[in-house]
Amino acid sequence: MPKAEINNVIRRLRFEHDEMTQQELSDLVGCTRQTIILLEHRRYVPSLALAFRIAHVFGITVDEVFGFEGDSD
Amino acid sequence: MFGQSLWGPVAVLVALGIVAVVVLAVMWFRDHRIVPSSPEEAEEMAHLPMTSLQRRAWWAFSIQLVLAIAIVVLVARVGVVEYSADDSLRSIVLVLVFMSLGVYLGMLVPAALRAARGDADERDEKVMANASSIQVGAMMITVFAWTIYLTEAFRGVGIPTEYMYPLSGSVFLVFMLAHSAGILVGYWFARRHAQG
Repeated sequence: MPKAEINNVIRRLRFEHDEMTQQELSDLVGCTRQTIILLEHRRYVPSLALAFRIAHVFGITVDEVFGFEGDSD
Repeated sequence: MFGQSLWGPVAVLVALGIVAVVVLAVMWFRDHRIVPSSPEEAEEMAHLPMTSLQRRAWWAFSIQLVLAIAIVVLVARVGVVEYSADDSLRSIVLVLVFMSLGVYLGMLVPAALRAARGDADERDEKVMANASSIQVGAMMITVFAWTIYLTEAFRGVGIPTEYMYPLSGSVFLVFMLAHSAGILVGYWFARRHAQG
């Protein structure tokens, strides 16, 4: 099965933020740990609201967290 | 075609259910196999933690399945007509139905209300929303099984009124059981479908 075309750097961002655990991130953005795991493995594409909440936790913009696979830059 | 016992609709229901599940499973496994891109992903996907809703659905499904099997065995053992005339047996079955309703109201309804308010995880909300389609399908199969059985077993002689309570009761039990089953199927589906 092909993965989602939306990729992300959530795992790297977690480690750069004091090695934040998946559970800590899920508590901060109001979702389950299962959702974070599936997001990190590109097995789930989040809603815009969840994408914004994740970006907000890391203090960056949505397009710094998520990217489209077809983008050249 | 069938004898006049409850095993007829049970057999038709089980057969139709098995066919539906096999067809759906073959279609999905063919198109949605999970191929992990790394050993790390394989490890993490293999030990994916269950969500709170998933745990509740497993518990509700297990308990309600046991209760449903107990009810079917109790009624089918003596037959529908004899069951209708036996007040003590009817009371026992009624208690089991209320126990199933209690499990449903206590374990799944609060989660459904949270999802309806938008307080739940967004995947949980989608799973809950899609579970109703499994409920509708299961109820249709149940009604269909009863229709085939009653039509064939009582052709030309009229359907006894004793069958009305078991018919509506079984649809109600399937309604509750299929909700938790629909949630579990929804998680299985969502794990193989990358789109939000």
